Amino acid sequence: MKFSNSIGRAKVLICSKEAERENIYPGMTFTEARAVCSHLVWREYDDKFYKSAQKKLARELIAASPRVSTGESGLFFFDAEGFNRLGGENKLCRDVLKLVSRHGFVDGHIGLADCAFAARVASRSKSKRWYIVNPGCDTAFLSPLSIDFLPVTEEAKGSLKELGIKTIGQFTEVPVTSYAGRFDQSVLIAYDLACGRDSTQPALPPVEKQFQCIIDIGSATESLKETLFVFKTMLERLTRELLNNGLTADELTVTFFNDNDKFDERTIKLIRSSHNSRFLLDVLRLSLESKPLIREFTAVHLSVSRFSREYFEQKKATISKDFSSREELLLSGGDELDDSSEPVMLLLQRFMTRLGEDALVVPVLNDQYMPEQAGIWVPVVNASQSTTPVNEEFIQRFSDVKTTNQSRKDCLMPGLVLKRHTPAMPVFVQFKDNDSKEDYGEIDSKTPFKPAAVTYRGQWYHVNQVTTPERISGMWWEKPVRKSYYVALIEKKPEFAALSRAGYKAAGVRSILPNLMTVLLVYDHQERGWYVEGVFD
Amino acid sequence: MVGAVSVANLKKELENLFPGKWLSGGEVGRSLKTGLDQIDFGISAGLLKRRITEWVGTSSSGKTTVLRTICSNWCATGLNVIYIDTFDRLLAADWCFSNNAKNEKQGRFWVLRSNSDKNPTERRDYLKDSLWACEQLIRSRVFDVVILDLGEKNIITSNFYARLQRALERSKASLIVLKDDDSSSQSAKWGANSRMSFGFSKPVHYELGLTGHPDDIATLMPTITGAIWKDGMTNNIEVSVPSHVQNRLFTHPQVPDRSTSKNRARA
Repeated sequence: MKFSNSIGRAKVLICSKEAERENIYPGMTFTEARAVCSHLVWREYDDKFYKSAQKKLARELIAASPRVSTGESGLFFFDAEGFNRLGGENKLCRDVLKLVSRHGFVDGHIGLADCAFAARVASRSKSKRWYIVNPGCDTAFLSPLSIDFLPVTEEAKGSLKELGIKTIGQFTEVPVTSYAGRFDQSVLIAYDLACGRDSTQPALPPVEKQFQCIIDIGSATESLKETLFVFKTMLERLTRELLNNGLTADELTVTFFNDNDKFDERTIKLIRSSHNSRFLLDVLRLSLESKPLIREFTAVHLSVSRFSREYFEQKKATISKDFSSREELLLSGGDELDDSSEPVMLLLQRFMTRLGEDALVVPVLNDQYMPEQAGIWVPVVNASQSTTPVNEEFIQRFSDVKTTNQSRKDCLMPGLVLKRHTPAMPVFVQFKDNDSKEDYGEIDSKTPFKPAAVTYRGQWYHVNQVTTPERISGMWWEKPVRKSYYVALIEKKPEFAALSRAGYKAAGVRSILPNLMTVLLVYDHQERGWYVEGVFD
Repeated sequence: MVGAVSVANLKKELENLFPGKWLSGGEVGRSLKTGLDQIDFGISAGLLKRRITEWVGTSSSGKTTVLRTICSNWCATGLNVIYIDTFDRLLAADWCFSNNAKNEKQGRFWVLRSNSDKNPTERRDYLKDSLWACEQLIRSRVFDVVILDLGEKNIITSNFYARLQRALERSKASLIVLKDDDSSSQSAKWGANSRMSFGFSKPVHYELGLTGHPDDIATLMPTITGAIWKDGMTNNIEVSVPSHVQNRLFTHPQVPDRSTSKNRARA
């Protein structure tokens, strides 16, 4: 998907056959695609994740061939020379496909040829899972194929087709000097590839740097203090290694063992890359405090599961104010809420480790009608939720239009704040004129109908005033909702209002309920029931 | 000593009568103005920084509505506010006043949620987590105002009050403890510097809908009455809420009216 200002407007650039089966096509926006396929999920592209998966698979492929290297995402080059005495090339292909299938990649294709380019083209064969080009026949194999296989720009392809060059054979018949000056460098490179001259060779895989250490304590340990002492030693060593290599940790993985029995493994994501052992120790401590170990351990394994290159950034230079006293500094000063400042980062890391990534949130308007959907909470860290954009200028224009009341002494923001009950509280409702609940469910807007009394936490309240219901239905693509929303001013019945505080205590009622309340009373047409979804506070 | 207290009280009384003239600059600088005259120029003179303010009222009393207005004013003046929603009771739509990225001076409004609905099986002491978070937030010195919503579980031990007060001494923040409590009860006020209590009362303002029929009520607006308690003195206040049609009903711009052709020049 191509990311624009908001996720809702992101466009589908390319999609799989499975997606097409769900009627998703390139050109659709995310919102449109979600409308036709409700279980569509937005996930950020994680380059590191794909690269690490590719490296992992390359390490496994060494079992099939000694020289394996990786290309673009999903592309591997391996040496297929000298397999005649080991069952032949067909057996090699079969073994490699079996191996990758075992790791979850069941849709693999293999091409075998003298040069890497011909092998790559051969792997695109639709009819066979592996295609072997005979030795010395690369040019003959490529010759009848379309020039669409050549790695050149669309514009160059169009120009070549206009010149009548449709196959790679026709492309190589023309001397290379004819292309020089007329086309860009990519066409000249493609010419060499089409002639079977490709310098890409599989190589021995580079030694993967691993930052990990294990300590076998020898005796069972449970206390936090001792555990942190162990971690401190390990972290000092790991951070020194990272520092020497110019790297910083992005993610830590801690595994606890009890006599070879692995009983706890936790991956701790860092909000910012760091090789500061104190900070990392603080993060580990928070993790242990929020999720204590279920049993004692005898050995612990700590590894830096993700790391990246250290980068240096010049901080913004500021001139400090001349504060005459510490008190003045405290009152005026402090740190700005800059997301990248040290205290904020440390704070976010603490909250993320102990309370989870979604704990710290900001409210964002969302273009939906349901009260609970009209705004959503977006996490401050790793915001991935999508909101439908709202025309804020329009709202601003309308919210400025306030009705004034002369008797008021202070003008607050319009509307009361709702504090919802999770889940909604089912209530009994009494109606006027002996109407039943079922009758009510079928009435239309022309029939005025008001609840006369409701129960709230076991007490009957008179409905003093109630608004005309706001009837909202929708969300049919997820879970159909049909609700009537009333704002009701409810007043305690006199017999309960007369009860004193002592009376409540004697009756075992825990909290004192007010005599006058404003509640959000909802009739759920789907469930055919009345609920108090929250109180206005 | 008694004389000094009396003079201070007298000054506050006079400040109440003639706002802005009797409190010294130091006192003004140490308090956060709320934007509501009755709180800013009454006996409380705003909310003191580095102190605890109790914000109480029964479960439907208008206290959070008043607080939202004040939060909005604070954010507009560049202060950073965080609300610890212990029991996940807030709706995001009610609090979308501050995320205006165009205004650089706009303060931030963040909410700390427990997310209890996401992990119903998880056994966590949400109150304990909230108290821990509150202390961390004060110590971080990142926020100007920390609001701790305790709901009905208004149990903070004296030890923890002392810990919070110690943390506040080293920060610039002001702590507001929001409780669903009976406003007449003042048993826990010793830990706080001041106490604001609220409640709904009559008269109830309401506006009729488009039909104009008396039964067709569009909005309800009860009056919010309150009382400020500080240093043994009490001051009653009254605030009202203007009518409000939900923002979500106005999220799309109006379709321009292209039907008229009166002003169009005839060919």
